[in-house]
Amino acid sequence: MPLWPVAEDFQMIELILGLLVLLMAGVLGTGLADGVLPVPAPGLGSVAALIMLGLVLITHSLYRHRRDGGMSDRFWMRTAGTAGAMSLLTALLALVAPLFFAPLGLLKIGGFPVSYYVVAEALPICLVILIFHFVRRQDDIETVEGDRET
Amino acid sequence: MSGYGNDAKGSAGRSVIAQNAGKTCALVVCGLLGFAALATIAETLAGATVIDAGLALVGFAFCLYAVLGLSLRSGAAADHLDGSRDVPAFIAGLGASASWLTAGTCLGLAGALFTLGFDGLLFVLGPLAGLALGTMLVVPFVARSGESTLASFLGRRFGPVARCLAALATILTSSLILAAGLSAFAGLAAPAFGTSFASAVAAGAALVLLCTLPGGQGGLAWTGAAQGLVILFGLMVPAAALTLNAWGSLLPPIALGEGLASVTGLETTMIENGAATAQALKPYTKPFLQIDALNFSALVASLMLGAAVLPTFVSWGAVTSSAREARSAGAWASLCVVLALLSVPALSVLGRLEIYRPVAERVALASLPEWMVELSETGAARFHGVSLGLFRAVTRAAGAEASDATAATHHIEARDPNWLGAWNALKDPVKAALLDAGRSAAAAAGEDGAADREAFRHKVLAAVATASGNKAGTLTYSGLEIDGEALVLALPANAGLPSILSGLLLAAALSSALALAGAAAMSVAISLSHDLLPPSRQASGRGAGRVLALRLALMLALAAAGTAVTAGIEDFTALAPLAFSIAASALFPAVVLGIWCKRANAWGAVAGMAAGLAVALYYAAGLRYGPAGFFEVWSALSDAAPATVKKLSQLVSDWEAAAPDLKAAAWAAVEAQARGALLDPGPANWLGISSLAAAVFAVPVGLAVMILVSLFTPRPSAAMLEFLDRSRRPVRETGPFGPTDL
Repeated sequence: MPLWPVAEDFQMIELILGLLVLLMAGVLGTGLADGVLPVPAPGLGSVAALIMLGLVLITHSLYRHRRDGGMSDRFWMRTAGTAGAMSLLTALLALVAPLFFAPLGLLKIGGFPVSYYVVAEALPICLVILIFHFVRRQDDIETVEGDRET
Repeated sequence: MSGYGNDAKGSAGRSVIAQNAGKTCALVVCGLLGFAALATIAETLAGATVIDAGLALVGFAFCLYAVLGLSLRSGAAADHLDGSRDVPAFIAGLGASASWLTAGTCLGLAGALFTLGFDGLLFVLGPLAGLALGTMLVVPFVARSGESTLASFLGRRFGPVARCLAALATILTSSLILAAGLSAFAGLAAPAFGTSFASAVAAGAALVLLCTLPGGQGGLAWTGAAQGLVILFGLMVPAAALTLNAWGSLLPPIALGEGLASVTGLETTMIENGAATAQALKPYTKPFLQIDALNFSALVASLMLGAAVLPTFVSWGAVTSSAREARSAGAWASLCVVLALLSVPALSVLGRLEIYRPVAERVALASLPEWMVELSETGAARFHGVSLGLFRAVTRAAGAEASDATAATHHIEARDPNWLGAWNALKDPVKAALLDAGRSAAAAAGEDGAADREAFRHKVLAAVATASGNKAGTLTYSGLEIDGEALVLALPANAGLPSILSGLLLAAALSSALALAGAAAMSVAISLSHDLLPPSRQASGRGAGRVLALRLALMLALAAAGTAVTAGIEDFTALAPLAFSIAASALFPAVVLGIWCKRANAWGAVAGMAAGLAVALYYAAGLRYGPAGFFEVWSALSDAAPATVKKLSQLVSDWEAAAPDLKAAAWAAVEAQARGALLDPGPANWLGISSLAAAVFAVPVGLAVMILVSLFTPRPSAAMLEFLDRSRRPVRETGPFGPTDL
């Protein structure tokens, strides 16, 4: 057994690096790190460049995976794709959306403060819809692809 | 597999209830509403002093859980461990939602939103997003693997060391949650039923035993579902009645808009007429005033990751028959949680309005609303730090001839220890004024309770206000403190609505605390009696022996948690989010990579779990128990402002120069300055993150360590990959008695 990552491990390393770069772009873009960075906060261009780098790394990792035959398992690819996309949406709704809506605190529509209303009522409802949608989608995948497996 | 499937049959009672899930739920709801109607009629006929319909309803709900728990008794180990995997998805979801809507997210949440405003919403978003992540990434795969707990799943996937580490992490997090549940139960039940805190803890532990001891996890699923129904009705019905009464709308989420507009208007009025200052008043809807954006996000992330792998949550998926059912249970749980949660912001807004109105009207302290004086009897409402309960304790001390504040402190410590914290928190002039008032009251011997109350309202509050610099003697925002939970419970009575609505709210809050404590106690018991044993011992024991071991572990867990809560060694309710953080740090990397990454191996999992747990415990314990030392080591990573650091240095110099007998007090001041508050840490921190969100450091460390160690050590064996494949894929029909996961 080699005690060093072999060629097929680099696909995973690339994927993790890509996700880390995207996370870094998210933290910098939302201004969460402004108070703790020892240097001035990067501008929009740097954040966009980081997003691009992250996407390139993830895309190349998926290309490697496909080239090495990793996508022949259609059931698992669809399962992982669905769970990955839905988890990302969940994280966006819980982590990024409140920061996005917070500056709208002073905006009122019909007397209702928009930011509070969205975070207290709309986001939880969106999360429930997302879970039910995921359950239906995954049930469909298992019904269709599960048959093909056997 | 768990190895518990064929050792004994479940009880007949359980089967009957399981086959009639719909009827059981309908019976619970009809019983609750029917009893509520009967109790209200009885209260009206006999008078509120003879029958308190609200408390009678709470008693009825407890009896219901006890009867359900006893009727689900079983001697089968399979029932105790995973409910024989025949609990319907909706019932499992309802039970999961009950333990989800903990005292921290039920009345506690209304209290948190009342206190924290917008920032309190993190306690809604974090756990709910975690429920979604758990349903998508974790629970169905653990359920499909055939294992009943996360620790046994990790044991199968990564070996015995990982199983033991996971079991220890489960015991740690679940014990913390169990203590928080019991503490929340006792904190609400003791003043409501007029018992001591210790008796309320014992009663809570006894109720948890009744729900879990006879039927184990299977019994817990059904009693949890009943508790879920009580919580849903207990929150939705009073919230609808209150919003109908206040704003003419039966739908709290819609009525909330009008409430928020009123809150904003009153906040402006209070600042304009000088009842509150702009610095002291934290506008309800304005974000990041009490928790900054960084900590808001860190806490949401921490709660989300922890909730996704919280052992008490994953066990709800394990009682269902398949991965598909486990997913559905997650979806039903989220729906029930949101249905209940949509009522909560309206309750907290109503609470704020109750406070803002008298403050905005600049009501004289002598003319305080009666409900405020009522709340101050238990210390739930304080005026410049003084409550009616504290005044009575000081009067007793003055009556025992306590000549000065020090003597009064000794007397209160000996006779009324519950009031010592409130007394010590007072400033010296306020203590002196209160002691004077206490002497006068003690001299007027033979005064009854009502006179006592009048003296408090007319004399004590005026003296205390003057001593605090409130010359006008009116109610001010900064001079008023009210506990959110007590205020929410008082809302129906304040609005002139039937007391049964307060009973429903109390039943909901107590049920959520019970459900949480029950799920946590079961997790600890299963970890102690099952997960810590090697697989050969798990499968070889006799059914009766295993059930006995589980029941003993259950009693041990409850006894230990009850003792810790009664002794008051920590404020467990405030520490509950830390359990999420520890669960995320220890379990999230191993569980998620264990399912989603074939390359992850045992070496990596053990290293990742140990590293994550170590970082989380180091950060949380460092900030709590040794903040000054922590700051000394990590000052380069602290976000403390220069002025704060200077103040800390000054306190350290004071400590160095202090006389030997004053050293301890000086050091306590240094530690308090370095520690700061739970949600707003002092100089001792990494990047300004609260210790409750330790997972934001620990999870990345755990993931990185697990990935790196896995990459540099041998790949998992073919047998392991086959097990993983079985956990990932739906099992097809293989014959008349084969697995049918689809």
